[in-house]
Amino acid sequence: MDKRKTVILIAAAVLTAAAALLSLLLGAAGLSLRQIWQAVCLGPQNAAGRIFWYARLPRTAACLLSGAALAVSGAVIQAVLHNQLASPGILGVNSGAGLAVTVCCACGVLSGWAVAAAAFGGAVLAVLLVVFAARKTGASRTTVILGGVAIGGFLSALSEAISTLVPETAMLTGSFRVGGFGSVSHLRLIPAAVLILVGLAAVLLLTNELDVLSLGEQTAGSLGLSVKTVRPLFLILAAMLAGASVSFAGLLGFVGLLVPHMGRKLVGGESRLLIPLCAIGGAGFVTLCDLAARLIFAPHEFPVGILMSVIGGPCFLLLLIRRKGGAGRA
Amino acid sequence: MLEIKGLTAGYPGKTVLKDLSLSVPAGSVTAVIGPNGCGKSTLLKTACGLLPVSAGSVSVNGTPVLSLPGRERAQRIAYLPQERQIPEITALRMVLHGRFPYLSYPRRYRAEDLRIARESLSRMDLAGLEETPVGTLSGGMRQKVYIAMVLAQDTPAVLLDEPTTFLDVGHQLQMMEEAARLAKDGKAVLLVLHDLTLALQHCDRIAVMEDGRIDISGTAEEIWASGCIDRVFGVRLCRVETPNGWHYYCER
Repeated sequence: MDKRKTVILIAAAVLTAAAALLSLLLGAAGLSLRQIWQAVCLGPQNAAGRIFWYARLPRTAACLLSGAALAVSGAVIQAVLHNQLASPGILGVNSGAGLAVTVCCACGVLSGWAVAAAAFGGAVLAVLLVVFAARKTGASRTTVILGGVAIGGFLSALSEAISTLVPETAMLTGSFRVGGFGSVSHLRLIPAAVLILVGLAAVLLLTNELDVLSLGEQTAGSLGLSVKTVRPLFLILAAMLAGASVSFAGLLGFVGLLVPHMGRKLVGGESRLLIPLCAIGGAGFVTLCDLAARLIFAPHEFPVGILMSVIGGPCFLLLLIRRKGGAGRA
Repeated sequence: MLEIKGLTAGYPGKTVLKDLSLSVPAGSVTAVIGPNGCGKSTLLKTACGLLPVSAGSVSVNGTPVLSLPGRERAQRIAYLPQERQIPEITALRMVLHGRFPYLSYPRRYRAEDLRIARESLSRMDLAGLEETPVGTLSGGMRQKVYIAMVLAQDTPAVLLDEPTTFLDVGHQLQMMEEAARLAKDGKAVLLVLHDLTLALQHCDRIAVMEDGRIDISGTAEEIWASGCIDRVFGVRLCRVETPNGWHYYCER
């Protein structure tokens, strides 16, 4: 690994750690480093301790986990489908998980494990549907994207229909659809965290397979990689990561698209560097966005999902424009 | 030695290869030529195990390869497809992936793999470009990186599907020289070519394919004498003698 890339990884880790610390310290009620230390040592014995254990810590952990999961999910999907415009959202993962959570809310199933499992199942089903549709129609890169748009739109429409028919569901899923960390609890976070940590570990262990797969189906197959096994495995891991994130953070856009693009510009496309950078960078990006959403109109909160789309859209366009400029010069 | 015997294969509902047999001796370059859609690319994909087989066998130095697990097969037969992705990785990393079939889990490249990859790049005159992203290289240089990957894979049989497509004439000739160098290393090299002149002048043997079968296989002289190119392609194969031997060209 060359020095520059090592420095980038370390810098990203330091920035993310700083963002996490700020997220623990700042908010409607500020905490000092001393109060945090006391809360860590003594537990939730006073107001500051309760804020730390029941609000700041789960929220910060949720931001870190969600950002890492969505960014890595995006990087994996892009590598597997050889399409840098693919992301969890574009492939219908968010819509699938969203529909599953909506169905859970409509049925009154609100336990953390059930919602996380449903979001994961919905996300996997949506990805499998897209892959199946793409295979049936030629499996070109464009058909995968178009299939994702069509299936995503269909699943979102089903969610809307359920919310219309069962109005209580709309109330329960309102913040979910905007995306945010305001209502994250240990109960909902822990099952999803398990899925995310397992998913991240699995992807990190399989980075070489991911790189070989990104050489193309035929080249990967000729190098002895079992494409028929490995490709669905990666898509399921990507769906698991995104689905688990959606289960507690709702629908957050652009992380899976923007962070891998920025990561590629910084360290290139090798998964052994890109995946860790996406995990660290995604965690830091979402944590900073959530911090900004908490502080801009403090003591009121601005929905982080909206803020991320406001930041993410123009940033992504800027990246595309700069990339085109670079290609033109080359 | 690559030996293909009685190969029948294709796609669901469509048999493309029909009882096809072909021998590619070690240390030689054999070109498969034939009209569009006759099954040339399908032959290469099937021979390296990417497509299922209805009947027949493929063996490398006497070992049947189609029944082998993917990694073991990839240690015996290398394949460079016609359509390739351009990954955002460095040339060295790309060539290192040629060593993938030799790795057991957790599939981390060893010092030996790194040495072989560097040697392969050097052999292709790409030393100094190790850390250059593949996507920034020219088409010809990129092709060399792919050939270096095949070199690093170090297999006794090498299959190249239209390796000269999209290359200018200089790079096409260079590509043919590289194929000859692979053969000089003792490998059985089988490549699909559309350019009959390149095939007839630069390959040790030519296999003419038509409708899923090998019509005739032999040296350029034997192919010329058979007159089969005229019949299969609907052209007139001509040749003129030059100081460097016969030069072949086609007329309508």
